[in-house]
Amino acid sequence: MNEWLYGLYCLSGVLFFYLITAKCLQRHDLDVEDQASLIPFADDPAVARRVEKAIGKAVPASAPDAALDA
Amino acid sequence: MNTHQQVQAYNYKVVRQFVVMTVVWGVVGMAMGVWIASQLVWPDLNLDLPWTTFGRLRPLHTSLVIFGFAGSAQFAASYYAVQRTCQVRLYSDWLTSFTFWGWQATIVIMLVSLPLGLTTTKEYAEIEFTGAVWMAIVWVAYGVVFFGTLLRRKGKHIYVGNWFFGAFIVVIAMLHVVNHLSIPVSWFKSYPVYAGATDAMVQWWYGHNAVGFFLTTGFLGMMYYFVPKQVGKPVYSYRLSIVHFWALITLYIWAGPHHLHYTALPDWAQSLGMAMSIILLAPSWGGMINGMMTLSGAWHKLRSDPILRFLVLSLAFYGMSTFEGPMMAIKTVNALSHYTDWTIGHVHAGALGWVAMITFGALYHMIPKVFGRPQMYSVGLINMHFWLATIGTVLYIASMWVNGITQGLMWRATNDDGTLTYSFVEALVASHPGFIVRFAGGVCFLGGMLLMAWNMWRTVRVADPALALNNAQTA
Repeated sequence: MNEWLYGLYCLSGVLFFYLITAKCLQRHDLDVEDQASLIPFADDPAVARRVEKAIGKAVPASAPDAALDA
Repeated sequence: MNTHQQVQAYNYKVVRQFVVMTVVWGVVGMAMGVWIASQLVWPDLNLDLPWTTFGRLRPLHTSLVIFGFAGSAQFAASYYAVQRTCQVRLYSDWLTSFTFWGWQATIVIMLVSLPLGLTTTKEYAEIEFTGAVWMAIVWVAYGVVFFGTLLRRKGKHIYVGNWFFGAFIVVIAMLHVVNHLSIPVSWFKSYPVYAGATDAMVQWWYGHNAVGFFLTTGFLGMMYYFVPKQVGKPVYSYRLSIVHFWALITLYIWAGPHHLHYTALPDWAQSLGMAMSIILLAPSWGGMINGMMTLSGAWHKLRSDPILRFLVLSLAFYGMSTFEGPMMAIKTVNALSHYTDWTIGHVHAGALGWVAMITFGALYHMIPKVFGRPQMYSVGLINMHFWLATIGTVLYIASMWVNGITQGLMWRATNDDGTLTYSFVEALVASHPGFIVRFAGGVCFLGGMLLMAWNMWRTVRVADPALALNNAQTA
């Protein structure tokens, strides 16, 4: 393979990684990340209360039926 | 938690089905592994029948554990996690049910065709044309169910675990279709459209990414849901999970050529594969560290929670095998390790230590919930399973390391006149003690799997009949 093409090929990979990661992290402040990381507990109020105690932050949660009806 | 409400809200029927079949295929596939391991110790155990020779049963073992055990586990975990993180029922009950029966049919096709010698001969892609087409149809249905559910999610954000499951589904579809492009000459005989080095390159692009996406990415999705749930804490760094997701996606797909070092593959492709494999260490460890650090401040839970122990040990083995892989991809190391038992040991460090252990943790977490029980029948049996699985894995990989290095050194040893110091048979004789230890490790691991099957049966058997009936009516 031509050396320039080979270099361009590797560079395009790095560029793809940088652009896509930057795009995904855009507008991702700490609050957004906190909320996103709590999604696994959002349908489980009992566990959510335990997580609240462990991390000292509010963990919004509602039982699945209520969540579906809302 | 009110399980009755969850049953109405979520489709747990298909999760239960896949959970049960994960254990069934785990027992059958691992028993097959123990059998072929015993054939290497006592060759007479091939029974002098064509259907039971090592050459036919080995692809059956890998197909059953990869697609039957690991595949069913990922169906179960992804269906469970995507419903709960999106807070919606799975898209289309009918299509969901089709994916279960369709996937089981695929495994049965493998179970019948491979011992008959009907094979493409491509590693991890042995299923012949008709079966491969059927598998693709089922996989597309899986994608429709998964992404259909994601589209109907209640919240705006897609949880990172679902990103991993989604990438696993999309990339496996691409790999499967491209690698299986062939010209059929009968229902179960076809010839690939590629030839020579191109065919080898496509096969190992598929083969390595079968490991990367079928046995890693989907299981990372599993890790991002079940580790925080079992620990009772959110993931350590959500930002790190996004960065390592994209790094993994960007890099994994290029690492395949390290399976073809010192072959007819162009040298630049070999070097590129090696370089990408080394860089791959960073995103792999990003995931491992993120999972491990989720336990910060909660390490004491390991003393009393064997499910968490499975999950954490799986991460430790993931870290170990993703360090070993890049090292083995270095051409000079590969010159020693390639074609030896070291490779087999490396694969099983990942397969037993990472894939199976995280599956066990996830199943023990899910079974009581989807079958409406407060907990598993016996926590003591989970503990015993943990130790049998750990001892089995260590015996397996340690014996294969010793065998691999012994074989590599004996094969390359030359006399002053340039002739080989050892014959192949001498290296085989030197490997025999390692084969015995590997067999013992396999028996331990299978023993643990049988304990799990018994524990699951007892848990399911004592399920509340009223709740079971309700489940059947509503799920």
